[in-house]
Amino acid sequence: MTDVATDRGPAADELDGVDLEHWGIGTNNSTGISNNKMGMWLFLGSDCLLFGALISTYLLLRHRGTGIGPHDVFDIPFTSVSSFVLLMSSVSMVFAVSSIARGDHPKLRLWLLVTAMLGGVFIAGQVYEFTTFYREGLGYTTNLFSSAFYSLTGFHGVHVSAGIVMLMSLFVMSLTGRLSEERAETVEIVGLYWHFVDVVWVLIFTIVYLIP
Amino acid sequence: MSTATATESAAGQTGHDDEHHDHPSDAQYWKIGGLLAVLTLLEVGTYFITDDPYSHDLAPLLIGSLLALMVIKFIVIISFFMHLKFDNKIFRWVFVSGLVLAVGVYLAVLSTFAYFDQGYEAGLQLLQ
Repeated sequence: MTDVATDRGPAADELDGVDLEHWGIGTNNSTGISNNKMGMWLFLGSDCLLFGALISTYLLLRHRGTGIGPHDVFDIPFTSVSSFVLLMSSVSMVFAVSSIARGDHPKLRLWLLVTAMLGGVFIAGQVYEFTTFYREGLGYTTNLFSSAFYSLTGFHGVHVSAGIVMLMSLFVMSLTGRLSEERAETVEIVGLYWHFVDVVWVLIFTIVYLIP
Repeated sequence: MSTATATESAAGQTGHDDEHHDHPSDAQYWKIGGLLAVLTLLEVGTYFITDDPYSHDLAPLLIGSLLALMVIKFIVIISFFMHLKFDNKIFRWVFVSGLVLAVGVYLAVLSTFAYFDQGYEAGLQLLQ
């Protein structure tokens, strides 16, 4: 009787010397692509549905409320600066990804910190904006517009906050030597999430703020 | 089957060698960031023409420009910053599928609501 555990068969012998991991065979999957990266892309694809629901709900409800509306509260110059800050955080994120690809850890930490700080500035701006709106009489349950607006921008803010936590985790991992060049993909995956959050704001800024 | 043939076979199966290209350089990333900043400035510039594009004489032009700029920024970010232009095409299909599904479903929802709203308004007028 053949010993199954040790019988690799003629096909396996012919593959000796082939970099199977490079082709994604045996070690990961048969497609040659990373499962982790695919998982993030699947998550982002499904997140499109979440934000699609929130944006379409906002479009449906924005003019149905009575009282305070978008024109009464929006401060476009202020929100433009916030949008610009978030956009620039995407630029700093790509530098973080390219830094770890080169094995430049000090630069990686610098760019991760810059990205997290720019994200923090954006969140601070959102907190200021929400507080100002509330003081002007626009609470979450004031009217349909306010509920839809706070739900949409609030969910986005939660996504940005989660991104900041991820960035700071990477920063600490790099500082403690647990983020080697071999794990560059981890930074790239967090980068994908961060850029997605930015790209969603590109839509929100135009649809909610500039075309009220 | 030789080692070289096995490698070629694996490459042919996955399409790995055809899909992966070099990512942009740092200098190119700065240029892309500058382009996005300029596009954002153009967007914000429309606010200084009017804060209510719908009621402006040039409403179709203003709203069309804002939507076009939004789409350009969206494509630039996902293509270059998220590397969809350079990575395996499977990622593109996964993301675009979610996006198309979202846009399709919610356009249908919005159209449905708009249709029934017209009926609702007409009913109200009849009652009055």
